[in-house]
Amino acid sequence: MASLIKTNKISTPGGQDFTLPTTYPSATVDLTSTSGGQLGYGTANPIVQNMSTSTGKIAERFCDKIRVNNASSTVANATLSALPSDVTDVSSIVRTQVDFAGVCFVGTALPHVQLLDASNNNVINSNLYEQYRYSESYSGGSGTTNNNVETTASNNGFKLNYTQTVKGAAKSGEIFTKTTNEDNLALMCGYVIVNQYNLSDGAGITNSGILIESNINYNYNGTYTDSGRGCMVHKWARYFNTSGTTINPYTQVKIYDTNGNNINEGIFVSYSHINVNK
Amino acid sequence: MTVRTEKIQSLTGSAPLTLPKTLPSSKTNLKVDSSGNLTTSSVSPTFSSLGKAGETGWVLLGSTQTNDFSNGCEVSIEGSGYSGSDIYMYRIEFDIEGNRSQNSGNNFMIAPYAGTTNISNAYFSYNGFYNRNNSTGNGAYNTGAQTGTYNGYEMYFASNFSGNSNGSYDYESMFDPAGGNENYSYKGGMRGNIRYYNGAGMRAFQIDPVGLYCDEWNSSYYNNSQGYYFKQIFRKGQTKYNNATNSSFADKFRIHNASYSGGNNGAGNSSFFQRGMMTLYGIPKTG
Repeated sequence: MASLIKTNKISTPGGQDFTLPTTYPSATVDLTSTSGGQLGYGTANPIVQNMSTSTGKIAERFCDKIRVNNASSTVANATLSALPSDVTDVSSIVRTQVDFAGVCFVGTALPHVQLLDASNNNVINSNLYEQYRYSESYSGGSGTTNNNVETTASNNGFKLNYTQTVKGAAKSGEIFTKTTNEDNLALMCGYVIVNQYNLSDGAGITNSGILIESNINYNYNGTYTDSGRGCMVHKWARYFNTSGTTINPYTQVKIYDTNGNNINEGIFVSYSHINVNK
Repeated sequence: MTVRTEKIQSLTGSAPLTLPKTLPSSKTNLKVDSSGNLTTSSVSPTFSSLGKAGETGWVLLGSTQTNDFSNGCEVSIEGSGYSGSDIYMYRIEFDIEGNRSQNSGNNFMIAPYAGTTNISNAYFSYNGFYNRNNSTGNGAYNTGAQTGTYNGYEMYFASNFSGNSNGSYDYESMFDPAGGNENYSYKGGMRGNIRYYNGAGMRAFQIDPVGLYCDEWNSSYYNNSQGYYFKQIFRKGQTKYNNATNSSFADKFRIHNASYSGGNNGAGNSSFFQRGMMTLYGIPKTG
């Protein structure tokens, strides 16, 4: 028995040629083959963007991530893609969730969420109706659910806080690694979930609209020695029109401060559920 | 025609591939190691996270199931390839029950650890909401502040959990929907998930609005056909105030009963134990 056969190609009785690789992989990987029969090696640590069936791809898919480090620079906003990198059909987004933590601002903030379409147009605007509910809890504050009568949406978008502002101030150094307390650090954690539907998405839809739910936890009192610092706000909102017109599909979720303060720290990740049949 | 050989090498290369000597028991990928050995071992790819090039989302860091009432429950990032300073935010999912069927001291707390060291801070400001079916009704956690000295935990979930004093019962019995007309009708526990901002000195817990669910033991509602005494769904958040007492990054979380009377310095009360499932996810700070 030959212990070593040297050849460039191995052919099957059917005439399919497989060409051998000429090097080793750097780690244990899958053996792969191109459609032309070129044998090669897979990736040691494959990157997976989605859990999916072979057709629908409805499951949660990773979209984007932003890390803001005060030691490096501050940013005017955190704008995350709501599309996985291999998806171009913007109308296939069923739901997007943005998780965030440790978010701080360089001044006292009123954080808002804007939804942007593929051309960076603001999707939530004053042409839409708005209905929303909220619960807010802080030292001395109410925890009941309140139904707000506001009926007109704002070009500012969806407001994350309610009565209590999100404290902030310019800081030096990375906030995540600070080992002692400082005043005016919001350290806002939470999430935003967005759903959008249009008349064209199916029978039975009578108005185009957007649903948003958020929950944030942050410091509303800037003095770190004050025991009444924490505030939690849970909000739900529905935006819609009654004109029958289409609302442009959002492709980005933007978190920013309408007071104009930059974000100086925090982490943000976005995931979307994609349904190609939508 | 069959050609027998141990190795195959491209004429233009110097990297012979060594063929496997056994067949796999079922269909499997062919693996190649850095020495060119082909193997058919069924080592399926494992994916702990979704992401794209240079960006990693939630990573599965650890999962544990504790089946006996000998200690608390804990889950760590050990073996994940990450260290505590790598993780900006955690998410902890859990289904836990206690070992006391009727005792007001059946309290659950959670503590962050750095290795074997409990690094719980002492001062937190509470807020949040609760909904429950007893006379205290619904309301807000709007007055709370965990004050005073270090108590061996950072978040106090709630008190008076129903539990399971029958050690022969599986922990899954906590989900027994039958409830009433048996001696342990007050089985139950707590389930939910929370998030944790893992700053070195300043940290924050946040319970998802879907809430923690738990059953409450109550002297009027045990051992009878009323079954579970549904306690509450609660959502609680907390932020740090006052001076940080620890400056390490958490790499493990432990749910235990640090004792309603003082904490036993985080070691847990010797009469109150938990068991159940904990799963830990995290968002890496970089990458």
